[in-house]
Amino acid sequence: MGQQGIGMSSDFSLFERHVDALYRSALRLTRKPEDAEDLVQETYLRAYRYRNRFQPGTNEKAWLFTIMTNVFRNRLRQHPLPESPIDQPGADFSIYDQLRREGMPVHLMSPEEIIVDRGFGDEVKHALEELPVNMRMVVVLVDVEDFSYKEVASILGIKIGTVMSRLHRGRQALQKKLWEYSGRPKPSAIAVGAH
Amino acid sequence: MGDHCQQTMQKLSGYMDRELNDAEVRKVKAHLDDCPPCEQVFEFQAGMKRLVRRECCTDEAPPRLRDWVRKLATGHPKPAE
Ligand SMILES: [Zn+2]
Repeated sequence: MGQQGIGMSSDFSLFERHVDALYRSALRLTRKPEDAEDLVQETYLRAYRYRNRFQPGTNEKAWLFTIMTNVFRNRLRQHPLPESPIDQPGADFSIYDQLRREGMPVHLMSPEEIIVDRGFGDEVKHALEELPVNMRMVVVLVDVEDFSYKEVASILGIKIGTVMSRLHRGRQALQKKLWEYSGRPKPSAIAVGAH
Repeated sequence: MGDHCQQTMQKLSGYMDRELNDAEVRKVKAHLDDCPPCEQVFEFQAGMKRLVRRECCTDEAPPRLRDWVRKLATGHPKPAE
């Protein structure tokens, strides 16, 4: 078993605890359980191979996510996944504004009530998986995995400003998708591809 | 919408994501305490974020993947390749 208190980069058991986080994010990225499992395996194999490059005391979760997003982007370059078309938001969109415009008592409604309690099972996951991959990665890293903007910038090798704009656009696009799923009429200004 | 509202809206994501410095946090918080419309927008956005996290955190790694990682971690790597 892994020794406690070694505190060295060779103590690989430190990385083990992030397997659920890596897997659920891999699922959002690949959209397929078998691909997600494969992606996580390759991530751990690389982490194992390069474990001596990990600096003890730094964030091992961020390190693993850096490896995984790199592996994923390399794979994507070789085998691009189809992306559902998403209109670039010209005007800002939010479900909140949409409901308010319709005169709904929006201060009495939570997103849970509006979106989830309509009998859908996995609509949030599906909506997320339909986002363009660059936005999706940022939304997953910030909203699901709780990384800071700075950590996300480092993980993805992009500027903080880019993190913020992708996050902003990604959250809006996610709300548009959820709005459609929730069975409400589509926002008039928004043209959407196949369902 | 007043200037304060607009400034608050611009900082709202940063506030929600805990990315603001102390002075900015105080400013946003003071406005939200004071302005129900902005407070409602914030509550809704924060609710969206919670919803995304809650819904996406339900997946767990399959046991066989977990076992495989454990073997790697305990020094008995069996690369699948
Ligand atoms: Zn206000």
